[in-house]
Amino acid sequence: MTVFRGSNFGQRARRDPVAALLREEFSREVAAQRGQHPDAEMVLLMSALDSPPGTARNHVLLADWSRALALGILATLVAMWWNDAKALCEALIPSGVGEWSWVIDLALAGTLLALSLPCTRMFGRTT
Amino acid sequence: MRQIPSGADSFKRFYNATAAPIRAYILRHCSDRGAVDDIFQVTYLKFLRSRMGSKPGDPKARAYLYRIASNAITDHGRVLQRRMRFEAPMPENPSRPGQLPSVEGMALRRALRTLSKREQQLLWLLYAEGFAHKEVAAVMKISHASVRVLAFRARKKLAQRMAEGSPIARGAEG
Repeated sequence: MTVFRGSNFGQRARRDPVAALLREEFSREVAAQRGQHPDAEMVLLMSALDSPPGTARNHVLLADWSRALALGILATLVAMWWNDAKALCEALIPSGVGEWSWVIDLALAGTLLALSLPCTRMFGRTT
Repeated sequence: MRQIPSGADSFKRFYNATAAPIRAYILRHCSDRGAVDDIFQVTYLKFLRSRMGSKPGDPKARAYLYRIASNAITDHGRVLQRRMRFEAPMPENPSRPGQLPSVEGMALRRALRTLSKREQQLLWLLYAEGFAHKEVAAVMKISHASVRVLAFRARKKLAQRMAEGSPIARGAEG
């Protein structure tokens, strides 16, 4: 049995009176329910009030602009941390800084990655 | 402060297209009429909290909503069964509002009542929603091949019951 879709719908419906009756009966039931349900706004409001803090989906708690702002602040903090940490490392390794520069970058990137892994989970849950 | 989702417009469109069929589906498949509004609300709240809640425009969203509604009806049925061990049973198949059906329509209603809940669910998904077998299989958690077989049997049974219950057949019996 196939779902009746397409150009030969009428032809098939004539061949299958039970299916046509079923459709008629079900569409009558659906029509009887129009206007019997609450408004979409009400459902959205209920959903916003019902979701516990910290577990709500990101678009419920924060609007798009605040998410962009949070990411901007985070990027600035990371850049500041990177500069300070690199300066400290260069101070600790006074000789042959030019040769060691890429190693310091690599180490800092690794540290940043290790720090960001638990943060991504936290950030994903609360924003 | 909590806000209404930014994708509220797409949800509203989705809700306006699905609310009446979902309510009719719950009303048809839930014997406890007083719980229809609760199940309806739970269905949409669960949908909004799910991964599909942020993308109601997805082609799979409608089938997903039916799956949530089916699970909510089943869960409520279990609670009701437990409660009914101590309380009086609920009246089955409450009358539904709407226009007066034709003679064939009344025969169909009678015949539909004799089918199992699962068969009624299958016929609804196929004929009220026009879902493909693949979508019905996803909603009912059965295989694609089973949908084909079950649909064939349900339709055959329905046609038989309708023929048995028709005034002509009953007249011939009498």
